[in-house]
Amino acid sequence: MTKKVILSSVLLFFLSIGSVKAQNDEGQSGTVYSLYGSGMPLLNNTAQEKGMGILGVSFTDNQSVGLTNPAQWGSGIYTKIAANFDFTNYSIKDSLSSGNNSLLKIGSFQAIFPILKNKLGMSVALYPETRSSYNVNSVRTFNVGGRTNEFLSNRTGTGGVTKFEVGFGLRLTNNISLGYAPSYAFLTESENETIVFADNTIASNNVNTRINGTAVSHRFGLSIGKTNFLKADDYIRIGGAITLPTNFDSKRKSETIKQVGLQSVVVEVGNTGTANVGLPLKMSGGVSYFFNSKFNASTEFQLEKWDEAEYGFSASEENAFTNRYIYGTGFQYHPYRSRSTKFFSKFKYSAGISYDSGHLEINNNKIETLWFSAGLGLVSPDLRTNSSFDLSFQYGLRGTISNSLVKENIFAINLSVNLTELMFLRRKLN
Amino acid sequence: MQKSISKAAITWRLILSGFIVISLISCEDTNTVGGGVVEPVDIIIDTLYVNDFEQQQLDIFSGGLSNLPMGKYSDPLFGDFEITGYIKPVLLTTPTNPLNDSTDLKLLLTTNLDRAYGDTTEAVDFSIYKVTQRWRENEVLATDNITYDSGNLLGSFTYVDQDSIIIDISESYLLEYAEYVNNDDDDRDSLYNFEFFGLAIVPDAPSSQIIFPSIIDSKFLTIKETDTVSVAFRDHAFTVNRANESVFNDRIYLNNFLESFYRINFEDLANGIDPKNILKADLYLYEDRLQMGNSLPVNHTRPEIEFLDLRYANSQNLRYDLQLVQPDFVAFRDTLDNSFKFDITQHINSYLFGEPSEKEFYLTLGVNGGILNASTFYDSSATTELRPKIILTIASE
Repeated sequence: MTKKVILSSVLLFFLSIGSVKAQNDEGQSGTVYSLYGSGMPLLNNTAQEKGMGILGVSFTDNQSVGLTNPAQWGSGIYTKIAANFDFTNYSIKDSLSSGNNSLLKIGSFQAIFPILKNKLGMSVALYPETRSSYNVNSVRTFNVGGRTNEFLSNRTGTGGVTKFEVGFGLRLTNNISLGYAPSYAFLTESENETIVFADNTIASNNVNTRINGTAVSHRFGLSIGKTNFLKADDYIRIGGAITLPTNFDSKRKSETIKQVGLQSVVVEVGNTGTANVGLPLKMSGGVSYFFNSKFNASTEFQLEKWDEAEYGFSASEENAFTNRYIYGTGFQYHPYRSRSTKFFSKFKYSAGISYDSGHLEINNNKIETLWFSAGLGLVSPDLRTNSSFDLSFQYGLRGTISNSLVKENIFAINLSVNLTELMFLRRKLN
Repeated sequence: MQKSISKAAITWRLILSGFIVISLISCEDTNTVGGGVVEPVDIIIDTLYVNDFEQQQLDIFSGGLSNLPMGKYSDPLFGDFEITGYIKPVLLTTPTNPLNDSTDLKLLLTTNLDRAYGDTTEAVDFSIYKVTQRWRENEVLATDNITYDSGNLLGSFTYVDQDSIIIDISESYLLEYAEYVNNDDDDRDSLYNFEFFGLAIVPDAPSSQIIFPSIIDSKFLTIKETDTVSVAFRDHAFTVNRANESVFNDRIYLNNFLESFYRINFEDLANGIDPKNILKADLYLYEDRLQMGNSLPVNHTRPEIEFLDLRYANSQNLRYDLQLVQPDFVAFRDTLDNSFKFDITQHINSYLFGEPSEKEFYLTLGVNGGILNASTFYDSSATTELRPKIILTIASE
């Protein structure tokens, strides 16, 4: 079984690397609002946490792996490996037309190794922090030489910030845990601007702009848990996490192909140069209360100080940044713990709601999102492992069609595959 | 319990399969949503006015063109043109039935009525004389002077708006030609080349039209009883006498006999271009149709120009290149505004992304097979709409 876990983890890791690379290659697209800055900031909560509408900063269980709070990595005796897959469909509309975008991606990969059982754990993770994924067509006209010409403009952007993180969680006491997670973050953005003219005497043009940068990022976590808090079999956990601002020394390069003389050559156009690109301070906190072994509820929040974030390549994009607030609450029900033989008792169920104020204010409109979530989980029947699958369904309402903006009705399916196994431990009984 | 677990496992397999299927079959449509958020690429138009046109003058090789202009016309705008045509028949192979005084020699000239230059309602008289000096069609320049014996009229004709005319050529000339044709000696060809000089077709005064017979449809004819033989032209050329040439101080004057053409250079303009993503760079010239039209009396006509040529000035043999080598850029008339537009995008890009191997251009009117073309274009003294200019279509950066 241990070999299976190792093989699975290697497979998932390479799938994740493929996913990061595919950010530049995928043909599908996500939200148009990911144009701004280095893309839409992502929540790397698991499908289980998404199903509850929370971030996961105060929530953990033995069956799944959480990225949100490093303090939680010190607890447990299992080696845990998880990969998250997301499929999102955007039904989009503005004042002129409507359409559909969709995006399939491997979200994150994480492995937690208990260095000291129930004391010190190490997390290795690869996950996207922001994501640009848009594909927008526009038809416009211009006048030249007394004639009106029509052209189609297409802007397709991919990329974002991806972090490779090695972090540690330490259980200081039975009730208090701390965590620290430094990461190497790399920014890779690519945008293709294509223009095709109705007048075929004007050659079509494609400009590819790439922005690259690297930085070191730090985040910290705190978790406080208490059993028998209000009654004999309850449990409360309070969690908090902070991610320090991250600044990238980024370089931008725009290239296109020009016919120069008799040759087609790749040339640089536009403003090639360097600038600061920043991700802001991020603070989150929350409380999860486990009423008993079958029912728990959580309430969490997050603040991202986008007001202070830099995007040196575009003042207009930077000016659109505004502080982001996220509030989420939800519950979870675990009938499988009753050991019932009924079919519907084999799952865990969750539901929740969250509000995201968004990190953008465009044309005096905040790009807010309201999420409704539900989740379903299956824990492995093999009592020697705690592996599980979690599936969440989210429906979100984002934006508005006023002021030339876009309203998005979002339907997302998230899948977490959690492999949990006792590793490096010889069993006395089989 | 084991049964229930299996059911759950099957359910999960179905869910996972559904996830994969939904992901794979989901597709996005092509739509234009989001243009207000993701601004499209902006197109910027920039205009650079071209001021430096350096006038040049030359003349053309007038032999061997597809038309043979002849006539005389005083153009109120461009001055006086007097054009004499020269033709020489090919040397026929020695016939079994020799040419003699029972043979008639005629000249068939076929013209295109649309190509007249001058007063199309008046009759034009021409006289035909014997050329008295040796000439070769691929060496004759339009400004050359080829002598002929004006004291010995070999034929004459009057042209009045007709598409073809047959002219009788004098018997004396036929007999002179017959000597070479009937000669079966080995040196007949060289004797013909060096001693027989052909005919000059000279417009008589007063004359007010230039006609342009087509070489391919014009010929000599030898007629003996019922036997008619076509005799093509071995050589043909023309010479032009000019008088009262106009001087244009505020117009660009182009004449396709290279009486006026221009040398231009865009280096200073190109080096001042800042945004580099030039999608198109067009050089615009605007024909002064008003002056051209107003200067012509009623019933007078002038051949229209249809295109302009632009060539890199890299020639070792300028006259030959301007006349016979394909231009690097061609501009056709836009009937909407009578502009002529050269697409010089590649040339401008060669400044922005390197160093062009050629920087100078010659702006000319194409020789057009011998059809005389002349026109005027607005220069930098005109209003901004009509000035010569380069219009840049630029993608915003």
